[in-house]
Amino acid sequence: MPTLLTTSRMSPALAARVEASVRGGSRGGGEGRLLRQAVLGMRILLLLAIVAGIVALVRMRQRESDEVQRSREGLLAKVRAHATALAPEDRRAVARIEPWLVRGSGQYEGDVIAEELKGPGALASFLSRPLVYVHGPTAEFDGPSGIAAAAATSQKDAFLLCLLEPPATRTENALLSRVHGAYAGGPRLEARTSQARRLHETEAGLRFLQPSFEAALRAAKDTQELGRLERSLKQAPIDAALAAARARLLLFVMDEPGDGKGLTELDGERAHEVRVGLVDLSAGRVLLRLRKHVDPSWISLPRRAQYAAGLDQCALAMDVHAHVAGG
Amino acid sequence: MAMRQEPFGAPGEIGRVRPVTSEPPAASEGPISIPDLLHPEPMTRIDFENTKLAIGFAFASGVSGGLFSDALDRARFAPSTWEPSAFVNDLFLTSLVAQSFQVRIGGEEAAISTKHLGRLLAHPPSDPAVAHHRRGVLAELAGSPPLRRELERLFVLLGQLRNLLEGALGGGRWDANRRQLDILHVVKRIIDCLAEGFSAARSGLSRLAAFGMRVRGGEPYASLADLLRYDENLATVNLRVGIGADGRIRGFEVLSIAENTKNPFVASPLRRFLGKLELFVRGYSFGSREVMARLIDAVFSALTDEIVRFVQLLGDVEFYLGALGFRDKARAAGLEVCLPTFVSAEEPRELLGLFNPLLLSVGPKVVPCDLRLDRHDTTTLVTGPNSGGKTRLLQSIALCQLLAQAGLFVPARAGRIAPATGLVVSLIQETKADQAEGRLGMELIRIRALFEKLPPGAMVILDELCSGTNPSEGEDIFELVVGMLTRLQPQAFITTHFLAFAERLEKEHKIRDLRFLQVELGPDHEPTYQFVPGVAHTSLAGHAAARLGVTGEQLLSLIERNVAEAGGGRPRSGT
Repeated sequence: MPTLLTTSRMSPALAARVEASVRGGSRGGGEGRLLRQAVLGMRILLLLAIVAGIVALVRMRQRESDEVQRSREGLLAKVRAHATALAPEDRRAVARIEPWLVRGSGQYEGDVIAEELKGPGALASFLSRPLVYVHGPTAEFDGPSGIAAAAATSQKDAFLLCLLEPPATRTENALLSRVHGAYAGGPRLEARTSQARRLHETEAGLRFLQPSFEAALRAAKDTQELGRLERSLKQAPIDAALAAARARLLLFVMDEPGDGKGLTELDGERAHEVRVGLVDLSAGRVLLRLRKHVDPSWISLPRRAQYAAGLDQCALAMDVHAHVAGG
Repeated sequence: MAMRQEPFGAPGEIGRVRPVTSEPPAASEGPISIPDLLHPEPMTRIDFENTKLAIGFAFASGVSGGLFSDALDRARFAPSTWEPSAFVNDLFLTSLVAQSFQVRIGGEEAAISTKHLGRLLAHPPSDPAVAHHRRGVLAELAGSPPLRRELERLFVLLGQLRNLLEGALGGGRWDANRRQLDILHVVKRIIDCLAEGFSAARSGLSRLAAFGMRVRGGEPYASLADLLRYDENLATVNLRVGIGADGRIRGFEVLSIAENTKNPFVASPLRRFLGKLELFVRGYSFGSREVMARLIDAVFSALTDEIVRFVQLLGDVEFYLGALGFRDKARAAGLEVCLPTFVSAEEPRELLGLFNPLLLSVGPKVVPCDLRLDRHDTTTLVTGPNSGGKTRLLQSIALCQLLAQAGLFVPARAGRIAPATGLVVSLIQETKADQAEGRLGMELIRIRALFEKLPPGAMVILDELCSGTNPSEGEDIFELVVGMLTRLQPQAFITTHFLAFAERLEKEHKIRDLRFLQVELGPDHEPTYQFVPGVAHTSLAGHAAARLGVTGEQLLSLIERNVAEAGGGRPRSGT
């Protein structure tokens, strides 16, 4: 077999020897040829192994890509399904709520009681509708980040429970019963306050229905990143957020700092002013705005240390009912 | 055993160094495949196939473990009737080769294969034409300093080839191609040296030129030359270099690039790349080095047979340069050597200026002597005082015979020598711990062994025959041995201290062809280390005893000193 190592200027004898050398026929003889054939075989095997490895790698990457794509499409479909359940304006529920909270935390604008609340059972009727609830210090409601921070720590509390289910009497024991219910939390409290959704749930859930989350899903490069997003979506309170987004009432409670002169109880409760607001989000109107003074000094000493805040909140709720009813 | 009766050379002329033209000129010799310098009919004496394999392996790997020595040490020689075991030890032949057959190049002693040379000397060829051939080469070398210089140059080149092949320099481990190209360079220089350096030779040396010309005329040599040019000159780049005011290079411009396209090894860049790719597909490495390795292999494979010849040639060159070294050493000691004239056994033996070459390296001034006998096929009894040079004479005669028949210079200014069919030497009578017999017994065993293997016409050298028993009984055995020896027409030389017995033999003429030599004494009865006809009257043992401090007075003074040192009294008186 000719070799490219020979040239036309070589003598035939030299060319023959060069070919023999390339074949391994001049020195080393059969052993050398066998060795090179073995090397060639090894190289072919190695080449095939490399090609097979590359093909396997490509196919694996392809499968992974397909899997990622399928997962991505599934998640996107899920997100879109949730999103389609919302009216376009509901997707902006947080943005719709935040201005009211900022405004409510600013200069107090005076008490307001809308006419439709003044009738017997009117307030209770309003409060039976889906509403968004948030409770926090006045200072935190100065912007989106502060609101988000306040919402994150705002739970369903004694004020909410007592407002939705006012005790029959304003005695300490009657109030304490509600406070226990609020402090116990759990499904029972949830069931009793099912129409109210925490603002945090709104923020946390609606984030996953925003275009930015869809973009993150699309940008995810591998199953790990996609899995992390999927786990976040599963943990997100989407249903609660949907309910909150559809709510048309905003109920907020803002604790003013107080004068700092009185005692502060062990649970942090102290005498201070509290702002309570109820806003009709669809109408863009304040239904109720009250500023009440709370002071735990009325609470019996044995209960003050442990329940001062809850009892004050429940008493405040009673005061709101009383104020509206007396309005 | 059949004997060749014809003399080795034309009789009548005492051999001075002179040109010998026994070989026809190179032009008439025809194609020469073997550059054999030792035999008129070229012969391969090394194991060709094994050596070829070893060279191939050494070329590829750079490790051979002494392939030259192995090949030469196992080399065959021309047929010889001489039995080396009968004389090598007694003549200290190994020492002679190591000390006197030295090759000196540029004042430095070069290493040679002394074992091969010793074996070669110990096998003098039976065919007189072989010795003639060697004498012709040696005479021409001795008479032509340019040829000797060329032979020395060839020896150096062969040594370089040996070192490169055997990896003695250790430089080729990192770049096998470079080492192999270096080897090919040396091979080319050797071929050139053979073809050009010996073109004027008239003796057997002319064979080197014929061999070199034949190889140079072949395709393998042309390919070799092309490959070496390819290695040194793939292309020529013309540059224009700009030099600044400070003398530094400021820039250069490539004016032209010209590939050496006439060289058959030069291929286009694309073809070179494809060639590398082809080798990779065939199981080789990918790269220019592998391409060059294949080309080197192709060139080397065609030259392997010639390179194998170089191994044998190195041994031949050492043979002649060793002989010339021996001549140089003798001359440095004020002594002359010669190529003796071969005569028939009936003609006189003449060795003028004979000296013992073993003494050249010992130190004392060597005193040559003239030896003349009326014929060769005689038994000569040598008598004389102790330390008179009898044993040295016997060594000299035996070495003369050995070197002459090997075709080399003999340690004599001039000589006439009849070839012998063999050589038996018994000079050393050392006692061994495990010897089964006493001194006489061992001597008788040696005599028995001598007769068992002694062919007619051989040279026999015996020192102090039958000296191991009382003279009266020893003389009987002595007479018996000498009488029997004459039946084999030997060239025998025997020393003895049985002076009365020798004198009686001289007078009685009972044993035919018996000759007598005695150490010549000076006026003060000191030996002159010359030998004259006759039987000595005294061994001068007393002189030797006095010289070596063994007189009564000297021994008594030693005894008194020892007694005094030991604190004893007077030594006992005695006779």
